Amino acid sequence: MRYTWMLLFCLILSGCKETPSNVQREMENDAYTQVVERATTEQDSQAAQTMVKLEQQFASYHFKEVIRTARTIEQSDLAPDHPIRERAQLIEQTAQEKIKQVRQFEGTYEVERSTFENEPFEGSGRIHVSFDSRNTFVASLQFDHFGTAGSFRNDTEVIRFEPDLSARLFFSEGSVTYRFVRSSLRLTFEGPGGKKTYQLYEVT
Amino acid sequence: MERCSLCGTPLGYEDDACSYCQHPVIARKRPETEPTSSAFRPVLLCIIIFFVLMTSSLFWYMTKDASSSEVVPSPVQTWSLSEWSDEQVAYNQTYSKNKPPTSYDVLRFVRQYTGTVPELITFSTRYDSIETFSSIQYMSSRAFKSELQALTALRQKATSAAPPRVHTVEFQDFSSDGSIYELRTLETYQTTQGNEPSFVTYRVQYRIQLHTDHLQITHTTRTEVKT
Repeated sequence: MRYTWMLLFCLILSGCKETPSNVQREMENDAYTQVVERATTEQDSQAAQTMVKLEQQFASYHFKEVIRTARTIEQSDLAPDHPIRERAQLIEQTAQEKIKQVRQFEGTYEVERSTFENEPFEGSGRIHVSFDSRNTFVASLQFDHFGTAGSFRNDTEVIRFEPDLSARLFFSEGSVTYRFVRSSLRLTFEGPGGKKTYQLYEVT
Repeated sequence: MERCSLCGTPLGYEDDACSYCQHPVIARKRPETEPTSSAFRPVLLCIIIFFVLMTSSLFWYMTKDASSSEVVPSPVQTWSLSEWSDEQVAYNQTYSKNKPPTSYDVLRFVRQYTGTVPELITFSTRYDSIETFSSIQYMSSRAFKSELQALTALRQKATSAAPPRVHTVEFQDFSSDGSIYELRTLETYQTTQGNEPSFVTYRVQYRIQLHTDHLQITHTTRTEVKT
């Protein structure tokens, strides 16, 4: 008799735990394309479609569009703890932080130190940096009398940076690395001749 | 009160033998209250279970109600850079039925593949073997050969002095049935002609599959977009 009661009690308790559906599991696994295919409710289907769009924009580094799309998810009827809402908030915050960081790096930088194989040399010039409004990490670098006397550079280079705000461009005989750190920009040329570095600081 | 079974003399509580006839006390009667308490046991158990169920259901209802009616602002968090950037190599990621790729994993996988295209165009059927090219880590050999043929425009514009590089990758129309992922991209590669930058844009259609435990591009259709 005692065991029957205990069994009954356990059965009642197990009924309280909701078994997650496939759609819920895929939503929690961030597999939104599958949720679009299998969603049983219009709300889930629409939310997942918007999420797929949001991730596409994020993967394309179109962060302004990311913020717009994330806000439409936030304004929807989804529950506050809905996994799609939480994921959209996370992506929006990340995009906002990156936009802010990129805006901080826009400006004019001037050569303060230049070294060749750790020995200083006479390097000078300025670089005006501006980032594309759509493709967040695509920057336009306008060189202004940059380099050494007799071989100054006065052109514009369009470069796609990586999310850590560094870029490495390869040439037939070496590479050049661009890296933003705090309020400075460092250019490192590496080739068979050696390693040349320009350290530029933002002009206030 | 208990009595001696032989002479009927009342027995003390701790007596081992009858004080009158010295007959040893062999077995005592069970207390009178016991039968009554055993009859009440299932009822008591029922009351306890009922009380526990009522309390837990009330708690569940109250917490459910609170979570749906109140908007609790979540703390501001950002996605860690290594999880969404190309720091980690996508072709090394393994998946299983219990840990399938996320939709973003697939997008990142394709984005990283585009980074191998500038090297892919240098492939020479005469001098190179497919295995030494990083693109092959992302795709089947059939897709690799299809890409080689489709990248003619970029190969023609590329110069040995400045190899092409990825300029932008725009993702479009991403869908999946759970085993096959299909997506379209608009990819722009930057080359240099003279000192001027030059761009080559492709509209690409990808089909990606989970091959054993990793993602693999099994089919591509690449078309140059002429401006």
